[in-house]
Amino acid sequence: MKALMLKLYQTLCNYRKEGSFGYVQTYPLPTPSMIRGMVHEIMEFTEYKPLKISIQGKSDAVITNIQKVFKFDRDSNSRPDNPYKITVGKATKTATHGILFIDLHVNMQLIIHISFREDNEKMLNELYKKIQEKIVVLGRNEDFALVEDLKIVGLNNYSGRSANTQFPMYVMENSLIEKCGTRYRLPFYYDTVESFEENRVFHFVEPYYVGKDVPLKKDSILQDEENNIVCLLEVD
Amino acid sequence: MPTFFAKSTGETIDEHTKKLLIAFDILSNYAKLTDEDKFIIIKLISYHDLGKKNPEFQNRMRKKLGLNERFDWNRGNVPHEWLSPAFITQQEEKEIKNKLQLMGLDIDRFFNYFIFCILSHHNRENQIPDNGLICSVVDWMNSNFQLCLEYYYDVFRLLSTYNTSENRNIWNLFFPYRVKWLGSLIKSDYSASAGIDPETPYSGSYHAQFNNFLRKKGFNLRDFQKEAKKSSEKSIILVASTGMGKTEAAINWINGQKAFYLLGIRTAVNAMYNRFKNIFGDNVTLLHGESSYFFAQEENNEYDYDIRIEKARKLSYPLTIATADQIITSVFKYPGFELTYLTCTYSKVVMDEIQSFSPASIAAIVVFLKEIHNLGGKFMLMTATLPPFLMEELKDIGNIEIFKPQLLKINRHRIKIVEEDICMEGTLELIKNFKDKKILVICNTVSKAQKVFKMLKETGGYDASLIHARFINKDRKKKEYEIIKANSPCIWISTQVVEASLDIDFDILLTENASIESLFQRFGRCYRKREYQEELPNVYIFSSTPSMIYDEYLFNKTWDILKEDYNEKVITENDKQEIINKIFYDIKNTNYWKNYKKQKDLLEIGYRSLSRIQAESDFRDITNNYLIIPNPVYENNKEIIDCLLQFIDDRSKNRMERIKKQAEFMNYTMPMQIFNKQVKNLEDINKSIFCRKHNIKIMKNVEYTYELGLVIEQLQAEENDNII
Repeated sequence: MKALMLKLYQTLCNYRKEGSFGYVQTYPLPTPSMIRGMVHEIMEFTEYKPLKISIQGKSDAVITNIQKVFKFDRDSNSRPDNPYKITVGKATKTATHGILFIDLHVNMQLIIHISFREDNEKMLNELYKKIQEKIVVLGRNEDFALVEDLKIVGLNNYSGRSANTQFPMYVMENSLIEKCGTRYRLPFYYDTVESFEENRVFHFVEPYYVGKDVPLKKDSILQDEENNIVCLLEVD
Repeated sequence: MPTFFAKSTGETIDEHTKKLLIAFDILSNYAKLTDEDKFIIIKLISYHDLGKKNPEFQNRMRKKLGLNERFDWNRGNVPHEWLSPAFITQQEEKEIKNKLQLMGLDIDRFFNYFIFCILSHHNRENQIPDNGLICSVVDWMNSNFQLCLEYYYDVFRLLSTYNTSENRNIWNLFFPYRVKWLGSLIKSDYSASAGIDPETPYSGSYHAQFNNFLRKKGFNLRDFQKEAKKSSEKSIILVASTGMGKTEAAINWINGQKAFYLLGIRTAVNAMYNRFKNIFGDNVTLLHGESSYFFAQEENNEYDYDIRIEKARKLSYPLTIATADQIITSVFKYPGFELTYLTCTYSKVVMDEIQSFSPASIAAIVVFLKEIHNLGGKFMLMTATLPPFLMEELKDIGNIEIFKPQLLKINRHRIKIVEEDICMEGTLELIKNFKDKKILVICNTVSKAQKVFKMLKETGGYDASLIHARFINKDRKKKEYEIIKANSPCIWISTQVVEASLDIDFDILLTENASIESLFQRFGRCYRKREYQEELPNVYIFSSTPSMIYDEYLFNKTWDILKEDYNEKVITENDKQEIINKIFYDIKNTNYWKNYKKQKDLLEIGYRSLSRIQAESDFRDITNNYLIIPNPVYENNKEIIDCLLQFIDDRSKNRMERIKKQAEFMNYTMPMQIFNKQVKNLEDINKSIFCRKHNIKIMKNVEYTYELGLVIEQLQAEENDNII
């Protein structure tokens, strides 16, 4: 099987945990949904194309910063004094600003493998081309990523004597020999919606976030041509 | 290829491994192992010491053997067992994994556990593995010995994953395999290294010897004793009065299989050992803290002595009489506990007089018995009285037979409650009535016993004797001998030390109030097996205040129930069971129960002791942290003691002689728990190495006489009041 291997570097970035507001927390690694969004943005898809994604990487530290935010407030009737008025779709809201605290990864290094379920090779080639043409953004809008390496690689069964994670990584439970790490319920994609009013119905994966040097079951993981461990996350 | 040594005796690794395989061959006839288990254990044995091929270890062996040639390696030492798994080739890994698959196990997890077993056959809890160093040793061996080793596992991760007991899921899943695999490896290794067989077959015929004994004594087995044999494939709970023949029931239940007979204290072990030895001869050994001195007196040949010690300590005798702490402490899972557990899974464990232990110890015993029962071992719990909560705990574990209580039909005790302190005129008045009788007075503390002794002697003019724990061993032994041989009329004053184990029988008992199980033990020292028909009470219970060793609730409830329902009445054996049930009926709020529960919970959430020595103090509530020689004793025997110590510390002298001298020296000491304040009274003895090693000190500012024992000033005595 082929996959696109993407090595990214980000100086400061935040992979926001949904539901963290006043103090914006971050996931230890980008969620599959973020990668999926990144890929769909680059490929300019208008609907979901099934993907398999493997995510691993590390940062040097997580620091906390203060950030100024602009945000929606109530509608203009309940906030008559607010001069800032914004219209989104059919709704008109006022806007306000304030500060919040935000967690930032420092020196994030990521190794990401992406593979499509349909038309894999064709799509990969296109993605390979488009990544080079566009700016890659992962996390918040301002979190640009430097593409350090970009390659289409073959994925094979693991051939070494014993397999350990090389970086902190998301792995599925069946790949772990002894359960360890933190179990996350990560968003993967949501069903297509027509408007902003419609609820996004998310589909989740539940991998374990584990550290470096965690023993893995050889049969349930893959390896790319550069001997990186690959553990693909997917939803049906 | 150079020769690889495994031992400083010049034994090579191959020879050592072969010895282990022979030892395991013997062991596998005893332990309940499947063929797959045996395959795995044989693999463990063949790999366990291969890591000794590392250059650092070989250089050390060569140095010890006086060989000049050395390997060119100076980058430090890696414990050999951390290198051993590198010798497993990929092909062999596959073979092992196939076997694991046949056993229906998760191959990756259990293969890791297999490696873990090799890694942990020695305990190096204070060392942290350096993966870089391990890799460079492996590389060095590959290039110098033409091997193809791989460092494919992670020592630190394996040890930290599988050696911790906090994760109960992992621990419980692997526990049976830990006992079987690691236990077999350790047991084979220890016995091969000590030059003994892991198990000694029974020599002679168990049944013939037992029947012979019965015939000689003219005993006929009672029904429940015969019944015990029928249930010999089950665990048993037996409640029986003293003198009903519990020991014979146990012998019949053991039925010729390997067994451990556990008792509370050394004196009891010694007595039981002599009883067993009379019947079963050399198949029996004893095992307690001072068994080395015991053997030294019996054996003259150093080699025989060593073998006997090793065989006893490695639990290889068919019958072992031991103090409970020798076996039960393994429930604290100190490094190497697997040996005891493995041995107990194919043995029978007889636990005698469980009620005489503290609640925390009872909890440890219960957890231990349950665990070995689950692993296929069998136990027999014998006691005169069984608190109902213990019955509750054990009745549902399956494959267990609960005998109906075997109680003496005769009436032995008529009690009277005396609402007065024991150290008063009333006692003297009372004693006057029993001119020709053997009288036993039991107090709760040493200082009280000494007070009563003084009162009887000075005010009453009686010729009384005193026994308690504050005598040096020599005097204590002499007094124990005297109290057993005592003839009427006589008066003995004592503390709880006579409660268990001493086979004594008095006519009249005067005792301070105590907790019920302790009180019944005391009753047992009066009219032991005789019927008492007179109208005058033969047991007098005096009021007292609960001291630290008794739970206040149980103490007071005992007093209330006895006073209300049984004052001046005969107490039958059935009554005793009833009283126990009444008093222990609602104990959830007592300290007794809390201590029991605390220890039990601690063990069940996975508490482990760091070492065997720590496990021993975890097991007992009271630890005697020092052995002391009272200053007056030292002054009076200065020449002998100094001479003995000089001999003991002189390493050039014959070892057997030195051990014998140690035993002799110990006669001048007594074990004692010393608190902060008193440490200033302690003094070293002539810079003796032996004394420093065993924490033996002289105690200053105290009096000591053969009559009174150790007398400590009042102030200090108070904080020591929980010593019996």
